[in-house]
Amino acid sequence: MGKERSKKVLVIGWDAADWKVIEPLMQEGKMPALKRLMESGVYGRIQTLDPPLSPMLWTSIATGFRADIHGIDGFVEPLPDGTGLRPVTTTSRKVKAIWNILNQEGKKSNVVAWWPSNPVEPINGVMVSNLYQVPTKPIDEEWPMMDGTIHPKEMEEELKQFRVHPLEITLKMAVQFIPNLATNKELRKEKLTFGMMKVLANAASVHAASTHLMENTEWDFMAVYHDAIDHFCHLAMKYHPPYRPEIPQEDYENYKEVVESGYRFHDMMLDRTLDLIDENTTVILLSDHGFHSDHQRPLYIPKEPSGPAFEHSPYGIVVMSGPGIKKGGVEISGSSVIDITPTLLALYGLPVGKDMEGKVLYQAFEDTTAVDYIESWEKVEGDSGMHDKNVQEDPWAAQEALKQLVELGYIDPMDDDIAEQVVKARRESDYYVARNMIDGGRVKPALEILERIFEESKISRYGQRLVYAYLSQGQYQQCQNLIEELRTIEKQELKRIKEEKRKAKDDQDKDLGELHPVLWDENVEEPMYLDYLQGLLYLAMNKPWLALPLLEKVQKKNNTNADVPFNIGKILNQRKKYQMAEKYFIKSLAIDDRNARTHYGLGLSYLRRNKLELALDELLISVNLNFYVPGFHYHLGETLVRLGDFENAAQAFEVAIRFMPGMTKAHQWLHDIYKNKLHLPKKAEEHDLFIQNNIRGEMVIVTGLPKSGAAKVINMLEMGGQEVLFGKLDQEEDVLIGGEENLDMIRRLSTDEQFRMDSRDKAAKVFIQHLSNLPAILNYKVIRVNRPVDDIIFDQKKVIKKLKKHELPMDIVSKLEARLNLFNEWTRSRPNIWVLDLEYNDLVEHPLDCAGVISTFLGKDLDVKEMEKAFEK
Amino acid sequence: MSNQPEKREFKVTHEGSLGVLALGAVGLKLWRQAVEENKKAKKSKADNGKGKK
Repeated sequence: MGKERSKKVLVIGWDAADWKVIEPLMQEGKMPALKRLMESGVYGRIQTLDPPLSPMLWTSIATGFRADIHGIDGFVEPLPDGTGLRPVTTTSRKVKAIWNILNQEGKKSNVVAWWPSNPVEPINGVMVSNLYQVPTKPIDEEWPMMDGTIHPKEMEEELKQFRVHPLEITLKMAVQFIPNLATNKELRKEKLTFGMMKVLANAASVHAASTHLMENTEWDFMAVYHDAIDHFCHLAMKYHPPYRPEIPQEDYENYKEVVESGYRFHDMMLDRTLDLIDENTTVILLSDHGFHSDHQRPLYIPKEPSGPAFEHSPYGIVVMSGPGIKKGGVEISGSSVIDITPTLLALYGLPVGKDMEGKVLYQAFEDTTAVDYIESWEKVEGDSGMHDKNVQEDPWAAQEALKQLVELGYIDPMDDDIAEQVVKARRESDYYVARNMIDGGRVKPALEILERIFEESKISRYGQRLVYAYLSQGQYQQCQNLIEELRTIEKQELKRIKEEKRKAKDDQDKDLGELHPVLWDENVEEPMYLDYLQGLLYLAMNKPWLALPLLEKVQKKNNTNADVPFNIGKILNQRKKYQMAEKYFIKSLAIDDRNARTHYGLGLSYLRRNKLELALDELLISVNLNFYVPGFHYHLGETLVRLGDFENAAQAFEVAIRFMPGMTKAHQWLHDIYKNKLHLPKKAEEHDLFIQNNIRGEMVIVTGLPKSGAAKVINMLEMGGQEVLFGKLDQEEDVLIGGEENLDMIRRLSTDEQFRMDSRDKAAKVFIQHLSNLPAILNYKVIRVNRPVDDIIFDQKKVIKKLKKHELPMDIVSKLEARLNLFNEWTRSRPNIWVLDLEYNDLVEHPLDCAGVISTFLGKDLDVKEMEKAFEK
Repeated sequence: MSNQPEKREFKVTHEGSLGVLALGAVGLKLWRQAVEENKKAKKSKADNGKGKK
């Protein structure tokens, strides 16, 4: 048993709660309970998982696993007999939730309305299902409690009374959300008004049940989930201030207070909840994702399953307070929703499953003593309170819940062809799982799923996701082919819709427009996203000169995607056009000011122009937004050194090497700072020793087949300020096979330690056939220059004399190809090799961009303008 | 000294309020009680009215 930090924990889930809405309300004193909770403990943003779909997320929160492992993969699931669909159920969850683990540890839990928690599990404690509050009957009829809603069953009668029917909501309550209801009777018939009443009634039901249990039962763990903020936001975020011109003024006036009142009501509920806990209880309040509330609010919701999730933002909120938690309103960073279960286990002093993806949020703890680990909680025997897989839920309740999901737009209305509907739903769930896996870094298995579902359905968004997967795997040819296929699909789709549009009139037109706003523009031949994807592909292929015009075109027509100006800024940074880069990074931040990479890019653009204070601000923001990127800390360290703040610089470099222990440059900085600035010789020696013993140094290797232009690249590097060990043009050997001098250098690298030490950080040309002789003790950054084999051969003067044009000597071709294969084997066999592929023709045509790419790859601030001259015509 | 805000007493009427809903189970019970009482009062008023006629 590890260290117990807390005896009781209360988890409160506020679906979709977002600091961007909360902060101004709190400043106006409108959320006092949350403010008190924050000020007594820690608070921060919490990162969601992709896709940001609540049942998947709340199950990840409660289990510490992603969807492919926990089994809740969307909003609906096929009925066991395949004859239809039902909302996701607890019977589909394949792993233990935190309350099941606690059950095995003899602890009592109350779980209220968790999504999904239907049918309820037979835990030691009380479980109230997420269908508890869903009204199934008109107000004047008996509202029965469905089987599977309450555990233990004998509490059904007791809890039944706490359900609030939407039609019980009085005018006095409703006017708090829609003040004009007091005077405008017509408004009372509006769908949004009824929607608001339903959401409010649901929230009141969940709150009443949970407060009743808090007051009348013993518990060690309690989890209460509220979906109401998410639902209020989906209903009315478009009317939330600031006003947007595309929203009818009258609607804005009517509904502008719905979201704010929803939040304030949650604060009132929180106030009451906090009154009911004792000082031994730790509180964790969190949301699963955020909700766009500013200019990032989408102008339209795509008509596709889970389309409303477009309104979700990637960061939610987390607040913790009570025993075990730091005091005094400390801001924490680096939290993810998948970290909650490991953190809960750590609070109870229980070991964390090694198979859980999440990490313990030590940054929230007073005592950061490391937790214990076990292989897996799944292997621990005992009564977990998970129920028999054959338990069936009440189909009636399920149908009501399904209806609610259709109303919210999360799933399509049921059509007549049930079998087809089931197939579509299955495919959609596979799509979510694939996205979830990609988000977790497991691209390969996700790629197989995406290839299958795209092949089956030819649905563009599956294809788009597949493009990203191919990109991340470096499968550029497949990526290119797929983009072309998507262009064909989009053209056909566009043609079809335009055809329908011509035939259709009035209302139907509006529907088609909502389907894809770009289709309203008769001049648009195909959606911009394909150009965007093509641009990303060119970027990944290190062809910024091809990417830039495409990205600029997209930027001109669609300025709502923050990634577009970000990528343009990145290219301009590579070209050392820092002032222009700054403009694009700022454009990107105007769309999304919480992107760490963009603040980092902007910081670099300042750093390189010696605007150190500005660089410092941006780099600090980037570190604050995403603490786990070593490069951010490294450049923060560099900025601080240049500002003369050596103590903090050392701290920044220390963090960088904590995340990337092999970061030679950071060790070198630390060695210099400790030795020369902070006068801490022992520490300086530590880093020196580390460099000597663990990191034997890094070399830049330029390679390629003979006559591929490798020597020119060596020259280019030297012109940019890179020290060169071997391979300048005057040392080049004009031979296809051979290179004794080259081989001699490699031998010395292996045998002569002093020579090896002196060679660190230098560049050398190495013939491709000699690469495998390089000693494994060094790290290598390899620039491979590629040139078509026939060009190489025809460029060989000796060979040309003997050959007729367009005739290739097959023995030489096969030898050259064999060398290329050797190169591939070499790079695959060693973990300490990083490769940049460059095309000779690109170097000739776009030397400045290639210089930028090389400089970025090497992580050095080379003089790209000088480098460009090496290939000047 | 407690950092909790000062608690106030308030009357629960049949119209209810967000404050009452926010009190949870206790508030809901009180509100429903007030609704019932109001219904009874209305009924009795109506019955009395009928009697007078």
